[in-house]
Amino acid sequence: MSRKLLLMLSLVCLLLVIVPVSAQDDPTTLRLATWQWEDPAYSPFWTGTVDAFQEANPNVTIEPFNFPIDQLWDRLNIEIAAGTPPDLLEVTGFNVFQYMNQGVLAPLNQCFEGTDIVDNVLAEDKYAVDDDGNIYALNLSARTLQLFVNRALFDEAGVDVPTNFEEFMAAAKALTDPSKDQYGLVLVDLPHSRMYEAVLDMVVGYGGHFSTDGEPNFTAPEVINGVQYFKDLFDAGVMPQGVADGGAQYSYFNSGKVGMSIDGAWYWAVLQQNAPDVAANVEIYPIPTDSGLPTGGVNNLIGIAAGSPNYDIACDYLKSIATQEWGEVWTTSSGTASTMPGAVTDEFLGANPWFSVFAQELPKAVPVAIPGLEIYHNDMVRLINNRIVEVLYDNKPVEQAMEELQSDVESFIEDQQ
Amino acid sequence: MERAYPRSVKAPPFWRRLFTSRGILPYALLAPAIIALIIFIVYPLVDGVYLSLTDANLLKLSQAQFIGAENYTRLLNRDVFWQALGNTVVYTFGSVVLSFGIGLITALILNEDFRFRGLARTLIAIPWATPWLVVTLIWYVMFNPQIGPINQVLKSIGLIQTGVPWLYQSKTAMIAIVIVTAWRLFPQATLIILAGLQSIPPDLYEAAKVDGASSWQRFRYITLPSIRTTNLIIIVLLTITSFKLFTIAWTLTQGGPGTATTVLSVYTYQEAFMSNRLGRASALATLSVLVSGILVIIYFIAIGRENNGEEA
Repeated sequence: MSRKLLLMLSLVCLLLVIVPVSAQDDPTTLRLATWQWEDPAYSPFWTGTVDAFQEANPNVTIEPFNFPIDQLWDRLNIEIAAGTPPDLLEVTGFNVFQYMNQGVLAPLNQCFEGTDIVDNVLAEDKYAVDDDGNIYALNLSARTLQLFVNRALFDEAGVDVPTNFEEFMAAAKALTDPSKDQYGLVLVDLPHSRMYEAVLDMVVGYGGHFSTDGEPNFTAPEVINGVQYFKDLFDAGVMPQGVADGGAQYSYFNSGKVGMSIDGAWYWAVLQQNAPDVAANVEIYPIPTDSGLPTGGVNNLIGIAAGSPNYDIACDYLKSIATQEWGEVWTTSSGTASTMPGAVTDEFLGANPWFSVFAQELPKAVPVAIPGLEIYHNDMVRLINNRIVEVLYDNKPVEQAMEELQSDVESFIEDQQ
Repeated sequence: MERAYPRSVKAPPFWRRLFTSRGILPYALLAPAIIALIIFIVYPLVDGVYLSLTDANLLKLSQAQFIGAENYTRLLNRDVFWQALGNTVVYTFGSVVLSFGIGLITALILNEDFRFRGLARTLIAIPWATPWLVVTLIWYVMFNPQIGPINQVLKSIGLIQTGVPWLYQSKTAMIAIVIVTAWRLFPQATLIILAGLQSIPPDLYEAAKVDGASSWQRFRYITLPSIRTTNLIIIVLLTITSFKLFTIAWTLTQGGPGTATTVLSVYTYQEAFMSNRLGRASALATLSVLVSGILVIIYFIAIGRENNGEEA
């Protein structure tokens, strides 16, 4: 063997040894899409998990793809369309189905294989799982909406906290005083996801939903009754008109001139921060409907983008956050329930007794997305809100509006096929 | 073909011929603009038309398949498309009539000699100088049923008992967005018409006065014919602007209540970014471009007729 050949073989062997090592040590950057990175309530979880992961994996950097939630989806969808989605995608309980359906999310079964995540975190809430058993996202948190009560106004009016529809209406009327610009209740009553859910609260309160056995059913008696009840509240003048979004709803209740609001646990922190005087008088009770069922369920999830070249590392990150320790951080900092087992501790409940209603009612939560129509959630919210606004502001009869809505939705679904 | 030169005349060198009027110089000078046009206008337009012939979805763009004219046939068979087109026509017509009418009246007033006329001419341009988004926010508050000044004034003079939800009732939502659009656009009409009015020789009015013409007759037979071309231009410009407007309808009503204010631009946005159907949205955009194109052709024909009339 010539010296030249020997030298070349030695070089090849050296390369074979060096290349995998250097590849392994190549710095990798993951992009994480979230709307909560700078939110004081959630940043302890995100920055904490990212810092811990980067410390354990010095060659990995996680960069946030962070925008406010009302801007995130358009930007994210454009990145997806361009074929450069962030590796890790935080999604909501509403749009996760659309992303699953459009092939945006990668199945996580392989990622979770050999771990207890499927049994522990996803056992009860099989949320982002398709009919074939493919898991597309890790549940992060769950929520319900409950009744926030301004005790001072209730005492002043001599009214008991309502427990059903009849008492709810009576209390709202008793608390309303136009001479003081005081209202019994505040709910969003303009096209917004909050209006959709406020109406759904009433429909669920009559024991129904917008579908039956996975098929749209807007003419069901429960739906008609629920929408009619919402309309009755609106017409009774017990709630301000033109409440456009969550911010407006907060403002009304924060003013101390509204007796009741239906909201999530996250509102507690907003109230404490923006209206501490009002917050001192606020108590939380189960939603006062006849069925007593709240709307809610899994609301924040995280998945890996399909085709991500960093699937394995992204998977390691998901596994690193699916722990009770990080669940406790989520719950403690945000005041909302992490879905990690044991994340809502007795210690937390002891320090935050207001949260107990949310914790108790969570297992009863009825999904916000329409069963069977989850992949069209955004469109369903738009179509439903369009008709509800006609009921509220144009006085269109509820039966007629719901018949037209049924037709709208059937045409929409037919158009998709 | 090579240019022939007499034997006695020495042909200029090749490089000089290249840059003479018959060489490539004109093309070289035009090239940057043409390249920019191709990149920023022609390519997106052609790509948009191609997308309209596919089933492109924003979330799986790479899987788009050619489906021919299916997007168009589906759109033309849907009530909501015809509703959107009808709303666009009503919105455009209303906005143009109102903004042109107010613009004409204010231009006539500002053409008169009065104290602080210069200040008034400056102030009238404020709505025009205000960004569309700011305009919508101002009017969003103005129309608010609880705290909006419009309802407060109407209540104080006893015309209404409770606040009218202007933006949320089918019967008032379109009127509301037309008012907002006209408020933003009328100064444009005012200033252009004012320029036209100032080009009318004062002698004509003086002669008419001597002949005993009334104010109305002077307006009818001198002012209007003199600014006919100006009016035509401003009407077409206002029509094109209103036709493609998105901000007002989207920010104030999001196309609602129901589909009462769903104009074509809003419908296109909903299809593209709420339903992610890029193919369908591109078909809508293409149809909108066609309608706009027809308006532009009408504009050029009308301008051509006016010019021919003046020359004759």
